[in-house]
Amino acid sequence: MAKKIVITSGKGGVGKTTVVANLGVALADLGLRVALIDVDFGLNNLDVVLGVENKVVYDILDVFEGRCRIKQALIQCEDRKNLFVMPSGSVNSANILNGQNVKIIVENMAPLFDYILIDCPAGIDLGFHRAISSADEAIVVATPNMPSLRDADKVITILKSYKLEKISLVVNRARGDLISGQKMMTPIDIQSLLKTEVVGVLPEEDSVFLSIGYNLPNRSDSKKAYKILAGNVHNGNKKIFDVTNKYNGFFGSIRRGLKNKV
Amino acid sequence: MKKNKKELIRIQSLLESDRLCAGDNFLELLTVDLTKLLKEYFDFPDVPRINIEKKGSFYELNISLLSTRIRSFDCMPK
Repeated sequence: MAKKIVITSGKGGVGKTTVVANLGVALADLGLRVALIDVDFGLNNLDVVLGVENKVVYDILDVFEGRCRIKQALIQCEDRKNLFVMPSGSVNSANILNGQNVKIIVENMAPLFDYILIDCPAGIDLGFHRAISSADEAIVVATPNMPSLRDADKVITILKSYKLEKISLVVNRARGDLISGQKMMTPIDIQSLLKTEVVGVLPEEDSVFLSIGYNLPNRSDSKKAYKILAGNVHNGNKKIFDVTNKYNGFFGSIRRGLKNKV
Repeated sequence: MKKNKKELIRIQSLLESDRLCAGDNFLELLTVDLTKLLKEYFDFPDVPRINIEKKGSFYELNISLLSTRIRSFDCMPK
């Protein structure tokens, strides 16, 4: 039976969809059967991030209204046969599908998968509650800056009222050079601030932006960081990717200086 | 002070204020008003430390202060 995890943030643009896609890929690489569901109606992008936008025939609304079965709406990723995407509906879906409807669909999908990752829309309005209502656990994505952390704190407070099994935090777009130079908060600071366990630290990297999400180069720091995150999610490990690794020491300080000049 | 520490202090203050559902300078104003009141009864070098914690549907308020002297005065009879 699938573990259902909602990926949320409050603030938009912090990388929820990217985290959903890449965490999904990393879990699939562990040999698990993973489904990614986009419940951001109207501003959906999970299909684009995964490169399956041209394969969408049915979406979650079609499933709910009985025009297709769940398996017909699920899109299998070409390069990972154990990774599937349930595309989001149009903006009209928001008027038709409430939290209970989405929950029924997710519950029906649960026996087919090991993990279901739910891509939550930004904000804390109806769309947010619709996404949360289907989940067992939540991962809050935040970037290490004040607006994002403030919104993450509010989201965590709301999530606590849902009595989820676990709420954890992923720090996205962490700049190792800035953290090492004490210009940016560390993940430990953020964990202490939000009183929530950090299960992943993801570096700011061009490869994430250039690959439009999920086909990260194997040697990239982001790929390693997602692999560690998947291990933490699945196995309960307590490892964190060290984004400051290449910016420490003598050569690290040179690298830091060069990065700041570019 | 390093930039990350300044930002950390700033965000801590902001989150405390948000969690209390009070305005940004709520604690500051409360401290000023309490200090004025307490100075009528006590002498003290520092400002009182106020800690407010939400416990369920209540707020637990703890005020801590070190005083050097209790001011002597007579209370008006009732």
